[in-house]
Amino acid sequence: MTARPGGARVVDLPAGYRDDPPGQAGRAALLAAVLSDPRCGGAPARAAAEGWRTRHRLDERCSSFAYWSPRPAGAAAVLDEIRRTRLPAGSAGESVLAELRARQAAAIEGRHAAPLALIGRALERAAWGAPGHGLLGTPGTLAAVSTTDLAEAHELLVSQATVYHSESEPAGSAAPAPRPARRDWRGGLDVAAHPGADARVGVRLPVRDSPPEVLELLVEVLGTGPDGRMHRALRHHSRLAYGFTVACWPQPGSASIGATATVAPQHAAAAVRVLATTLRQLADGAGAAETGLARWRCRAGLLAELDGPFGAVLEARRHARGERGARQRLAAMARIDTLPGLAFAPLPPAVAAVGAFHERHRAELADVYEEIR
Amino acid sequence: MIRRFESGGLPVELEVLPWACSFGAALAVGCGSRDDSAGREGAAHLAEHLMVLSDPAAGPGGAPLLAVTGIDRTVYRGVGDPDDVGILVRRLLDIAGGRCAPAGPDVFEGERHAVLLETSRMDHQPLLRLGPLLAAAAATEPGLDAIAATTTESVRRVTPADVAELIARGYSGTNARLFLAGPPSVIRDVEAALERPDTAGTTTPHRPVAAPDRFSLPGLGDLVAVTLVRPRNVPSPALDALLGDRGPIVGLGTADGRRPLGRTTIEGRAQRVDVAVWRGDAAPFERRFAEVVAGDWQALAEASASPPRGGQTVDGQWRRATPIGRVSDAADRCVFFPAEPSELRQLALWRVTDGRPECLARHRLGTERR
Repeated sequence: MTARPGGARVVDLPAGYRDDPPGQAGRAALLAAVLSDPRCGGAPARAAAEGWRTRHRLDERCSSFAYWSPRPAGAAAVLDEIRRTRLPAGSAGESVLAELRARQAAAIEGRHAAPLALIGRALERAAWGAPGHGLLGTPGTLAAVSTTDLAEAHELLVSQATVYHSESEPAGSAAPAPRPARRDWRGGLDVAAHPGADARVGVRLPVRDSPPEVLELLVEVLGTGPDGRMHRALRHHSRLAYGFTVACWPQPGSASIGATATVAPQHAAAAVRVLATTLRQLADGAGAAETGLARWRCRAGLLAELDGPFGAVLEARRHARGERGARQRLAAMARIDTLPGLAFAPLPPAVAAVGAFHERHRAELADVYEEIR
Repeated sequence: MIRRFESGGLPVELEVLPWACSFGAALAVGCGSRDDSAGREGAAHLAEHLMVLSDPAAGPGGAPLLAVTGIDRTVYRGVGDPDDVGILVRRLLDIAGGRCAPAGPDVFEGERHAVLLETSRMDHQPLLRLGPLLAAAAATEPGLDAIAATTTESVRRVTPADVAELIARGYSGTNARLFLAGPPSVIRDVEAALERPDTAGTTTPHRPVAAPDRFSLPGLGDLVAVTLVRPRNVPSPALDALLGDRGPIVGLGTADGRRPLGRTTIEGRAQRVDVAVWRGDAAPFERRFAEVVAGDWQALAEASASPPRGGQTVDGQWRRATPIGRVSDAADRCVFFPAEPSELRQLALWRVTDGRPECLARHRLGTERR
């Protein structure tokens, strides 16, 4: 096989959740739901009929749709298909909209959400406090969005859409990605009830500005698999967890690094202590051997990402928007031989726990939070 | 283009992909939960956990692997840097030969604890065990309930010696397959990594252990299920559609407001069993089952199926769109010897009362028309 299998397109509509009109929070997400529902014809209907894979990301100022077709040119005219996507006329459209509103309302409450998504959301609350902008809105604001509002937004945004493919125009040809709004770290403990045998805990620590490639390499030092520090700390030294994740948020001015673990509810507090301790040990940096292995893993992961069905088109999009691409990240990492110590900001940690906790577990979590803060 | 090699008895396939940026590798070892000794269920899973660990100070390390213990095989997969594929290839050669860093008590008990957490999920959700139980009852190939037979008690009984014995019995170059995919630039590095004199260790004849007695799931009742036994690795859009979401059994049930409580596929070495389970009365399903087997099942199934595109499903194309996807697919599909082919295609209807499946009807399907 000499050519990459399939073909992908990304379509950006230039309005995100921060562009929702007053009183209509959640409108961008609702419009995205319409544009992803096969009953609304156009792109989602074709995607469903032909087995395309799709992906949607909603950020502050952009609603981004990705399409992959097994035929290289299959999704070439997807913008025309998006243009034709709309709610059915009359009561049928009202009925579809009501269903999409209900689905979004369920998502707002976290119903049907995966535990990893729930712990991520709880960590966000613990880090930043109640979000000023609800990405999905509220049942009340969703009710205020009419079929006419959505049709008008659709027409306007599709006329301003940008389409990317793997050979998109060179750097800076598209509107640059806006800087995320600066937020003030609050820190705190957020415990949420969720049924099931497993609990999830998470710790997120704010850091002083650090180059993104340093943060990414430190995430690999902690390890996304069994070769890192976190696996040894959680499984072998303390015998606490089954799975874990480590991630960083490298935004300038509000960078942070964090980890989550899947544990039995009675081990939640102990796992929080291990996560916090292991994260804070990054203050000592990492030696050449550990850095070298982390760089190898990062490089392997980034190159695999580029080979993903959406990899080439997303790289072209980053390039066109003047964002750091995988190649730039790889070049920056190649220059790091030993990782410097991470400077943590003198702010309280964000700690979250999601699970079927008894009062005793909650009290232990409160105690351990006081201990590590 | 696929290049074939052998390293110490281990068959290796390298797919050269001119468009690839990354390197993917997947090792399938013909040793899975079915090879657990009776009373030590969980040993193969624990072996997998210990195999993926590496101590960079003790040998090749740094390449994170994802691993899954199946019924007849354990698959290890990972992505690598094409500029230095040796780390990943040598790591997988060590695993194929049953070599892993010695695990001290902390490591062994830590990994046992992780396996216990995974196993306890089945205790909280007994339905997770029902699919394998039904598959074992439906298939002629033994041991399809091996994973579900694992309990927290059996995992607690597993000793380091049990794991070592299982590795010595089941891990060898001749009982494994290694699949690699990457850009042309990796060919020389791959060849060099495969030239190590001790590549796959000594080969030990594979000696499967007899499957344990069938277990039951007390407390699980008021359930009805349909199983479809079919040959593993023999593509059949008609059989896919027969128990598909829109097919003549599941689809009609959904139209009546009966959505499946759960669905799964259990794969052995030669057979696979698709399972769908519903809550409630078996009578409507008995009628539907009788209609399907009395009529032209293939026509009924195909009428509900999406037309295949270009001879290959979109799912398959998506799965194989990356180097890691291609090698993973190959590792999941490869056939180990001695794989006695099975031609059985059989649909069965079951009622589950107090955790025991009772067969209400069984119908052997004819070979499909092409």
